[in-house]
Amino acid sequence: MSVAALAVATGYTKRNVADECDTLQRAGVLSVRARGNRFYYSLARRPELKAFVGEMPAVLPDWTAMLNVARELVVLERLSEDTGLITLPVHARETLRLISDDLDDLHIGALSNNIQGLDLWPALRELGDVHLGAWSIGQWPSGNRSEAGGRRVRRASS
Amino acid sequence: MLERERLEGRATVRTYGGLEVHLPAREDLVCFRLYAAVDQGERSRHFADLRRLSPTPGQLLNAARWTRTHDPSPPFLGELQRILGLSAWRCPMAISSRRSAATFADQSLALAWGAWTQLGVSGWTSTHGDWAVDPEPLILFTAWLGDADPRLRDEATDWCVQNWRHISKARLKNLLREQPDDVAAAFGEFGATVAAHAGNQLAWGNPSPAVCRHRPFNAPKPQTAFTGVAPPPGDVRRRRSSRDPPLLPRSRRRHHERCSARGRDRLHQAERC
Repeated sequence: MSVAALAVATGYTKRNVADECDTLQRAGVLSVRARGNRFYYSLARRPELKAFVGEMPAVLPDWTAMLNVARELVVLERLSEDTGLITLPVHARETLRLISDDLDDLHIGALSNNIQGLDLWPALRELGDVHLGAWSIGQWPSGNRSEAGGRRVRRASS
Repeated sequence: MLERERLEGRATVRTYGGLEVHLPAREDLVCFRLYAAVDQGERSRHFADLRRLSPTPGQLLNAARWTRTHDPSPPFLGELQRILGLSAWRCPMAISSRRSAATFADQSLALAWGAWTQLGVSGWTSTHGDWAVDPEPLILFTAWLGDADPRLRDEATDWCVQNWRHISKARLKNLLREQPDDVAAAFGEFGATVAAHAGNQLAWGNPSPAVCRHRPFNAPKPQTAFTGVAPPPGDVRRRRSSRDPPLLPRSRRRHHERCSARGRDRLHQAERC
């Protein structure tokens, strides 16, 4: 992975990641190859590292994306109790926009564009029940890859 | 139920010489035993006592409601339902005061509880045993949940006070940039509480966006969550400061050494050796 991709995936700055990668490369843990003006790092001694780290957990979720989705669904749920039928689809559409990148990161298929208006909140509720419900009891819904993938750079949602 | 006056009013008083004993009423004993049985499991003497009391469904329901006022967390609810199910007692009505046990708020709390339990917090059930847990986003999320579950907030605060060395402040800061303002404000309170209890070793001050972003020109820089980080005593690792020479990749460092005067001297010395 490139330094930029690693920085986005881990939540550190590129400077932090570059420094650490440089140190690890000098220690022989990482190998580097240059392509253009970018350095791509990979594990140099994977078996030894695996033996050192030990057994990895089965589920490696992207916690940032997962908790963002959970938070926005909770907010929408609260809004659904206070707002009327006319404004609820607007809030639901906004929530869907806010979590769309996170759903991509979690490899969860977005809702169909055909779902509009008053159908949007029930559809989002069903999506939340399936995924957040499974996460809450420690299950990872099949079909979703559990590896934390490369996250996109996004700004604050509000 | 179980207010002090009512508890005393229902108690039976017996006198043995100079000793006066107040025995709680049956329905109060059911409450105490149920709470203790949920806490210590079905193998405890509390569970056995509860069965011996043979409570009616109404007494059990009242007791279950009372225990929920002491611990409203979803994991406790799960354990309560399990204990009631084990003893073949069924609650005829919903125990939770909320409208549904499967709201997104409840599910979020259960997710947070599962993750914190995996990190070592005392929890009722271990649901996320095969999950890798990422603590920094979890801290931000728990701070945002805040008063939704005071016990979770307190347990998470205690964990952070004990384990702050394992938390990356740089990463918290970067993650916080992507979060909405209400999360940043909630984390400000949470971080300040952790800092207050962790002593001078940690500077998780109040990173309220209003404080951090709208600083008057020439005003002294406020102490935020990420300033003034003092290394813990005995920690020999030193963080790089802005005054240190920049770390360069090896190829650029060699070029830098060849071109700079000091670098040329160093190379000459190496050649002479």
